Amino acid sequence: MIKISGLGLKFKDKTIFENFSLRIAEGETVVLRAPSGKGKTSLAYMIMGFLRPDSGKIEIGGEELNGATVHAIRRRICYIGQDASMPGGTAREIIDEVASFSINKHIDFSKERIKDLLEAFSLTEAVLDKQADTISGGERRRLAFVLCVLLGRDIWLLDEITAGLDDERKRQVIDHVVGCGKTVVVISHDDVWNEYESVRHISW
Amino acid sequence: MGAIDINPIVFLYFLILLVPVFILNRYFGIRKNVKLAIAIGRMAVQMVLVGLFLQYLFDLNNAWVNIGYVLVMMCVASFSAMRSCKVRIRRSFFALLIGFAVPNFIVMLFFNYLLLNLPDIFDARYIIAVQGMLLGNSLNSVVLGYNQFYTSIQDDQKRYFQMLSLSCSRRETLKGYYKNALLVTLNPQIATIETLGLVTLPGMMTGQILGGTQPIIAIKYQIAIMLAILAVRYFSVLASLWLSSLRAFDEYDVLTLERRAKRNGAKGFLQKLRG
Repeated sequence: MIKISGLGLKFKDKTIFENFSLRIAEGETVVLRAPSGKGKTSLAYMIMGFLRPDSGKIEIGGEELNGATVHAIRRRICYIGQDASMPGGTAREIIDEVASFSINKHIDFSKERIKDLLEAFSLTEAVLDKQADTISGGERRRLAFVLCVLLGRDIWLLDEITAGLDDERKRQVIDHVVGCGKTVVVISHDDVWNEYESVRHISW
Repeated sequence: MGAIDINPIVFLYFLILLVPVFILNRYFGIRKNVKLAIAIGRMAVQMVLVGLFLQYLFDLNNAWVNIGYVLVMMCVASFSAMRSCKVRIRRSFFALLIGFAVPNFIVMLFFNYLLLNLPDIFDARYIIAVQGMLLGNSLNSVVLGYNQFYTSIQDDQKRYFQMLSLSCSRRETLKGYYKNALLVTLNPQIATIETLGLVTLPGMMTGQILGGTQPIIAIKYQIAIMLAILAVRYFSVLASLWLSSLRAFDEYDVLTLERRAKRNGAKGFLQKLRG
């Protein structure tokens, strides 16, 4: 599903990746681990086409990532960034905005579905009326994860999605990830992922 | 009744008003007296030259010369906007020029043709005066809107990428950024329009009244001017942002900015070497 070959990336004089390769099969959950500054988020950015590698190639579902394919590839991926940064407004307004995007028009954003998903991740409907920038990091990440589940894209790219959550809530998220049947790439420092046998760990 | 002409010698009396300013500046340690004196002198020379030049244009009153003059004003506005913007977009000059020219020209047509029903819409007295005022206003808004739009994408790239990944569409992602850039220009205008006449008498209206125009006529002109300014500001911001955004993002929808050389002279150069 995801094939990265001979990837090279430099920032000024610092080499971040040199001949880096990675293959992730369809339906697989992979956790990427590396010390800070070793390019985990850069890798996610490169998969999304936000950052261009100096060398090598990235293929998603057999399609090579380039200027012509980047939009089609992005439509298959749900990326939740490290801080789950959201625009201003309440959580409800953000969900409404995401629902209004033409790519998401066919998706069920009904109140019942949102309520069920919020409950599944220990969130109440009250969180929807909070301003996004006042929501705690943990709540914001779970809210972003709810969005990811709602969108239901083929590939989930989750950067530190369990950071700031207690173990019980981490397991709620991870249980859902490993049982979702999607191809999931997680960037995480959490050891809780080690408890799941089906999860493959890649470190560098 | 025409305007009462001012004797140039009388201007010197006005300088008496500034004497306490210079004295108080000295007392407070505001070291701006030399700069202030140069600025006043420069303004006087500039205005005299512009006055002579405008008088020449008004006497000549050739439509092509007038259009050419307005185009030069627009080019200067585009360069000025480029210099004032915190970010530098690739080849943004033409985006700004068209962004200024099209809304300004359309609003000028509305003003000179529909409103004033002039037999010659390119009459120097009207086209130069109206365009000068509209252009000055749109320049201000474009700089504010441009800075708001591009710096908010640049400063919070994570948020931009997050929304881009959720929408998969640059157009839809940028909608919120357009909204904020338009609000930056719209909000002060709403405040100005609301208080017009109650708190402020605009310069143009005051000038007309001093020039001998009946207040009720001056007010009609002022209302038309305010609507024209509102429209031209709004559409100049929108047009210049849209046109510049066509080149500001690469095929991956990532904002690509030209590096702006810092004008710090030797100090900046040394810092760069150390950095």
